[in-house]
Order: sequence, then structure tokens, then C-alpha cells
Amino acid sequence: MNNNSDFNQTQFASQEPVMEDAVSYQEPVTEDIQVAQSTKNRRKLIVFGVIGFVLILVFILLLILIRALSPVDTVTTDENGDLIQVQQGELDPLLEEVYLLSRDLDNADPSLNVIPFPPVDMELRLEEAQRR
Amino acid sequence: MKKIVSLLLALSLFIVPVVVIAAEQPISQKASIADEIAEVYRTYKGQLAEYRQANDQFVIAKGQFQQLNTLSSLEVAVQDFRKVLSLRDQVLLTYLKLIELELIEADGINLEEKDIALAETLDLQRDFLAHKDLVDNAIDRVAVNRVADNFELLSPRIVNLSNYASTLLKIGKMQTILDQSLTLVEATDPRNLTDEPSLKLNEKIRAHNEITNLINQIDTELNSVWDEIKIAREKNKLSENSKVNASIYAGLSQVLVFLEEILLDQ
Repeated sequence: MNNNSDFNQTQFASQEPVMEDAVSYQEPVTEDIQVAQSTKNRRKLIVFGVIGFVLILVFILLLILIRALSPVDTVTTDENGDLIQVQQGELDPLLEEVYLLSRDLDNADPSLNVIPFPPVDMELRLEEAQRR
Repeated sequence: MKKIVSLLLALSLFIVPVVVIAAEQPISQKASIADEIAEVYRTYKGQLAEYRQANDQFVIAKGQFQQLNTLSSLEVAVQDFRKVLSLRDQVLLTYLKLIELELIEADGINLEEKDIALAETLDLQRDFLAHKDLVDNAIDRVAVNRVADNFELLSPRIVNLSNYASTLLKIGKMQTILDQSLTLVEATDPRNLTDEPSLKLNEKIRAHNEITNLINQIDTELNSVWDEIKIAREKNKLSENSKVNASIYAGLSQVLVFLEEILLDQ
């Protein structure tokens, strides 16, 4: 209920209950607090920056390590005689050479033509049209 | 400080792609000639597609001229005919370039034959270029028909060269494999093994002799093929002896199987 509608004249206006919510008191922001806040933010930024940089560096190092440690693939055959890839170091170099030669031999199949003749009409003529 | 952090992050972002790209680089670089072959082959494919399109157009124009028999339909047919003749020459010129590069890149080809094939390839390139110029400059029906007739002189030469080069490339590949196999057989000679028990050593020597005999047999066959190629080329009657080629191919395959067996047994 609105207490302003109370017509009791024995009551002083100053004694009337406060109708609206009390305004909370805020302390004025001092310069020190602003400086402290700014330093805190900067520190946060530095920490995140350094963590990011370190993570990226670790990623690069891992990449280099993986590259350096992974052996180069080479060619060999499986039980069916089909060419497959295996890791280097598992094979005798001479045996590896044999497998590479087998692959070359597949490409040297005499039934394959490296340079087939172009599919063009070698007997193009306009004469047929002329004769009619 | 902000600047330093930003700089570090930017630097990291720059380093990552550089490292990744560097890690992906192949160890060995492709030979420039192989790149050139791939490039010419792409061009050849494009020109062939263009030729097919022009040929279809010419067939339609020719059909219309046959039906209508008017001066305007004749003009269209002549112009389309000229275009398709020019594109055919272009395709064949690029094909000749492809043959030239394949021959240069190939190993194992008898040098005398290789030189002759290359010389003929360059000769034909010149002649086709001259023919293409004639086609491009032929403006009327009579001139276009004349250059079309001239093509009959070039046609058998390029077909012959194609067969010749194709045979040289096939035999050259097999010759290369034989030469490399011979090196491997020498490297696996069991007589070089000192710590082998004599019983096992004798078995290995017999196996080695078997491979050597097979290689000698293939070598003889290949030599006779080179001689045949020379004779056929001189007579201008080059035809592939596919039976001999298949026999050499089978022999080489056997050599490699034997070699694998010996090396796995070691």
C-alpha cells in the first residue's frame, strides 16, 4: 500500500517509512584500484601469450620429432606378390632393389604403349561433298 | 609488453606454416624433363579435345553442304575443314614433342637407334609445322584440298615413327631392367661369401649360375631384337615382334623372382 495516502497528521514527515529502495552506497573508484586492475589484466595477457607461444613451440617440436623419427616408406611385396609399402630398415637394400625392379618391370609390360598414336582422322577429306 | 606478446604469437603463427611446409617437402626433386613431359601431355590432351570439337563441327558443316549445296554452306564447310586440318596438325606436332621428350628421358635404348629416332622426330616436327602454315594460309576450297592431299606424304612417316619410338621405349625399359638385374646378380655372388659352409655354398653357387644363365639368354634375345629393329628401320618396315617381347618380359620376371628367393634365403 502506498503510505502517502496515510492522513495521520501526528506523524512527522521525517518519520514516514521510506517508500523506495535505498540507493546503495558506492565508494568512488580511486586511481589505485584502476592501476591495480590494469596490471592484473596485463599480467593475464602475458600469461596467456606465453602459454600460447609455448604450446605452439611444443607443437612445432613434436612435428619435427615425428618427421625425424618416422622412417621413409619403401616398396615390397605381400604374400600374393602385390606391391605394398613397408618401413625402411626392415629390408635388405639388395632385396629392396629387387622389389623396385619388379615395379619397373610392371611398367615395362610390352602390351602397354607409353605413347599411343593420337585418335585423329588421318584421312580427312572435303571431296565427298564436292563430288555430290 | 602487449607488443612483445603479440609479436611472439605472430612469430609462432609464421613459424608453424613454414615448418609444416618444410616437413612436407619431398626428399628428391622431380627431374625437369619429367615435369616437361607432364606439361606437354596436358597440352596434348587439351588440343585433342579441341580437335574433336572442331571435327564434330566439320562433320555437321559437311553434311549441310551435301544437303543444301549452296555457296554459303560450301564456305562454312571449307572454313571448318581448314580449322580441323590445322588442329590435327597441332595435335600431331605436340605428339611428336612428346615422343622426343620420352626418347630423351628413356634409358637403355641403343644409342644409334635413339639418335636416328630423335633426328626423324625433329625432321617431322619441322615438316608438320610447315604443313600447318600451309593449312592456315589456305583460303579457298582448292587450296585447302591441296594441303589435305599433301598430308598423305606425312601420314605414313608419323605412323612409322610412332611404332618405331614405341618399340624403342619398350625394349629400352627391358634393357635397363636387365642391366640392373645383372648388377644385382654380381652383388649376390656367393663366391664372395667366406663364412658359408661348403654344402650350402655349393647350393648357392648352383642357384647363382642358374640366374646368370637366364640373364645371358635374355641378353642374347635382346641383342637380336636390337638387330631386328635396325634391319626393320633400314627397310622402313618396322613392326613389333610381340612374341619376342613377351618372352623377354617373362624371362626378366623369372630373374627377379630368383633374385628375391636368393636374397630372402641369405
